[in-house]
Amino acid sequence: MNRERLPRWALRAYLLVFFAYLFAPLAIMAAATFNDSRFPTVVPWRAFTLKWFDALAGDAQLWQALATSLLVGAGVVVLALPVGLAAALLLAALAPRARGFVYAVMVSPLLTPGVIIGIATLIFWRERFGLGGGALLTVIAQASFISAYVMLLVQARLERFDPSLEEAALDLGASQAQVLRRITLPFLAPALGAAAFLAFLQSFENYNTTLFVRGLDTTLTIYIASKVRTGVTPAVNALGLILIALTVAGAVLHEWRTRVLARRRQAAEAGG
Amino acid sequence: MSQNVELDHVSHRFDDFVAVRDVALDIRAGEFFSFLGPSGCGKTTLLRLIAGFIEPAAGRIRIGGRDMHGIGPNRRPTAMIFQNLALFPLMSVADNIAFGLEVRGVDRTTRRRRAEALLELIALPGQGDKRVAELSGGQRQRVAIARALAVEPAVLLLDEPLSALDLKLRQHLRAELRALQRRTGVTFVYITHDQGEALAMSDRVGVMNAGVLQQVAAPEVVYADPATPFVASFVGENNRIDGTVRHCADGRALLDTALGPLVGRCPAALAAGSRAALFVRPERLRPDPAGACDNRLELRVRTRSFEGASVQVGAAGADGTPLTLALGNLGELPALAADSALAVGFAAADATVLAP
Amino acid sequence: MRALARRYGWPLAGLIVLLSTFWVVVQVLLPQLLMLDFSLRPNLLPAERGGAQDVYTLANYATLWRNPVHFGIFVKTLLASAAVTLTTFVVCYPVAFHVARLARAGRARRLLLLLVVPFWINEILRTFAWFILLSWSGPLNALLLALGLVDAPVRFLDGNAGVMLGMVYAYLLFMVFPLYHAIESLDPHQVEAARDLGASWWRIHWRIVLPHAKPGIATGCIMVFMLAAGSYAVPALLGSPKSRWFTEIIYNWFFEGGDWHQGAAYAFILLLLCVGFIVLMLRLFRVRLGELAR
Repeated sequence: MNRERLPRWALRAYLLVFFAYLFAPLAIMAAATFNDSRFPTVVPWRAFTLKWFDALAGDAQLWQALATSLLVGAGVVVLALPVGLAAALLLAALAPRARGFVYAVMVSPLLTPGVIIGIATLIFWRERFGLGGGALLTVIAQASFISAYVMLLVQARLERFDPSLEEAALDLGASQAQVLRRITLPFLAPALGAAAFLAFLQSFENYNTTLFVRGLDTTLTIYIASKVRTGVTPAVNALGLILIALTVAGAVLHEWRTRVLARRRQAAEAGG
Repeated sequence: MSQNVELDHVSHRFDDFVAVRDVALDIRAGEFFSFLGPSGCGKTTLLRLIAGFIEPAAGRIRIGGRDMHGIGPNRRPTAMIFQNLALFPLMSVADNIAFGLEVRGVDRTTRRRRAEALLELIALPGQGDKRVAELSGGQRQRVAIARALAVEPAVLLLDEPLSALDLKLRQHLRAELRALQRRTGVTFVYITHDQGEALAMSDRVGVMNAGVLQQVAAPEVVYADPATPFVASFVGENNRIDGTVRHCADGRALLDTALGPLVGRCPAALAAGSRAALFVRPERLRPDPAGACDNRLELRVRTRSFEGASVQVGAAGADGTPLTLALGNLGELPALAADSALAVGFAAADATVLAP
Repeated sequence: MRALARRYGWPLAGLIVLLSTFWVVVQVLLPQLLMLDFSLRPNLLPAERGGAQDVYTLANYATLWRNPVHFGIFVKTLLASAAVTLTTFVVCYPVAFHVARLARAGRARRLLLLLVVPFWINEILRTFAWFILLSWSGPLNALLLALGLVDAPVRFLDGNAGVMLGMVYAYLLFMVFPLYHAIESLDPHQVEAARDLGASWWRIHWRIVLPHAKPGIATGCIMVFMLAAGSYAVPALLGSPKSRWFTEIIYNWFFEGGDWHQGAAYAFILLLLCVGFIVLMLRLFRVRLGELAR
């Protein structure tokens, strides 16, 4: 044993406990889906069942909530993607001093509690434009901070962009719109794809902001939370399991793609 | 159709740094013109002014007689080869070459045909479907040239395009560029800090320093008749000997120096008693034990280095003024031991006297 | 704008500025300003608005001071969020250090993926998992009973402990990643040099690793504190009326008390709390806002 370090086994044990802590609750939640009990639990284990998946299928409110979530998510992507892209392009063109200030304002929604974003949006749009809570206001409120994620992702890629490519295209006679469409956007495409995925997921999962601006519309996340608070059944677990499966598949795909792109870039750089 | 480029007293500044100072010059149609200067001398700025990426703070730029003021880079009859080439990494070689045609709305089959023809021209036939990353450095270089030529520019602007390549390839591409320019007849404006490139390829060279155009002339003239001390020492090797003008008449000046009185040509009149510098090339200095030349110097040998085709001799005058001789290897070479005395001479016609 | 126009042309530059302005001004700045304005006005009937009583007042802020229950909850939210932040840091630091410094590249990648996956899962679902785990007839109680550690099931979901446990779990990963990125950028030779000079392991961490990781620590702490103080889901799901969170009071002003002005004042206080924490962290760790790693 080395006096200058913690013993290796202690660290290993800690990691084991940490990852158990990370995954055990999720595993228990997943397992509870298949327990034939009215309340979601794994003890006592009564019998294996798939009936809670059936219960989901017959839940009209759930399907309505899912439709709302998909609609809101799509709306957020449509709004946040161009806004985040524009913001990143604007930042790149600003003088350093102005850039620091504008950047701080742009990332501030990420450092603001979601409930406050929801409240501020609700008050502003109702008072100034008579727009009350609902799916539309939810899109506006969520996009106000999700645009910042998009901006950061685009900005990270834009930093690696060689501006002489734009100049070369311009020099060859392309209009500025053609440069954007043929040179800049294709270069940014991977970041925009990742941003769209992230934006949709953020919107789909959002609870704190949505809570204040949803009006009478219910998103899936809101629906799940309300189910947990009022009469929870393992149907919620079944729904959670499906969502987790989808999310994990999406996350793994996203991570894998990021790696492949990074490797390809390295290979290209090494080749050049 | 090649066109001329007229720089009408062009100046440009970045904040309070003057990058280009009152440059007036007419680059002729169909000429291979090089701007030569150290990095930071303003030559890249000048090229970007001609391309239209920046607008001059003062003065006018005319291409083919047409004022370029307010005309963006995409509407100028110029095409640029970038230092890093700026090939589009997400497009195939053929798409890169045909990009300029694509944005002009040329149809796909015509584009394909033009790209193929240009690939022939740059000796890369049938390589159009490759990715840019698959090409070697020299091949990329040629693709960049083909891409610029595809839009049939009147003026081709080249921003040190060979600087990233190794020596052998560079020398090979020099000859290729020169031949290409001859064949296409397009006006080439080339910028470089490599005097070898500039002298070897150009019809005329413009030497720049600190934003100022120092001299514009054919390579031979720039080398033999430098207009300023900067040109004299920047282009090629040169020996500089400072002194005071005793008199100056009929294009000849007599200078009093620490190495004795020396005579040289003086392109501009110099006042008697003013300071001046005499420049003489290493290869114009020769051993002169008999004192047959116009000028004679008593030196001591410091170093001797054999370079194959020549021998470089480092020597110094009595006051320590360093001088270099290049003696051609014509069979018999004098044995020059270190610290041995060496009498050299040079013709007055081979020396230039310039105001410092 | 000129630089933008030169690069993208006037129509596109205009669009870029328009979209950015819409976001920054209409979506971010103006709503916050109006919320502040709202919080400084009394709650009046529509007929009275703009009348003699419609003046700026700090009355809505005074409410918090005068209401001992609300003030108690505010202080508890502050302290509990700070405790959650500190706990999260302590739990995450060894993991972040291990993945960043000790693990070989392949293993580090796998561990990172394991960390990323739960990060993607819905906060509500992660909290719901703890709801099952901690419930009165849940697995944790069953385990404790089986081990004989308790005689009767514990009501975990009845107090602040359950809420804080859930928060540590829910916001953990917002701490791990900033820490990981900060530690990863440390030159390993620095650690080796310190060890070579005879420093003990805790001194290496205290003098070399932690100072280097300051921006990451600041980012992680700011994120976790902000999320904890602003959390609504975790206290709503894992708490009870006895363990109310400040956000729950804000929600009630809006949707049960019907006094938006009062709610706006409370929301603004929460915002000030978070801004205060950010400033504190930046001062404490001597980091500039721009240095905050993502």
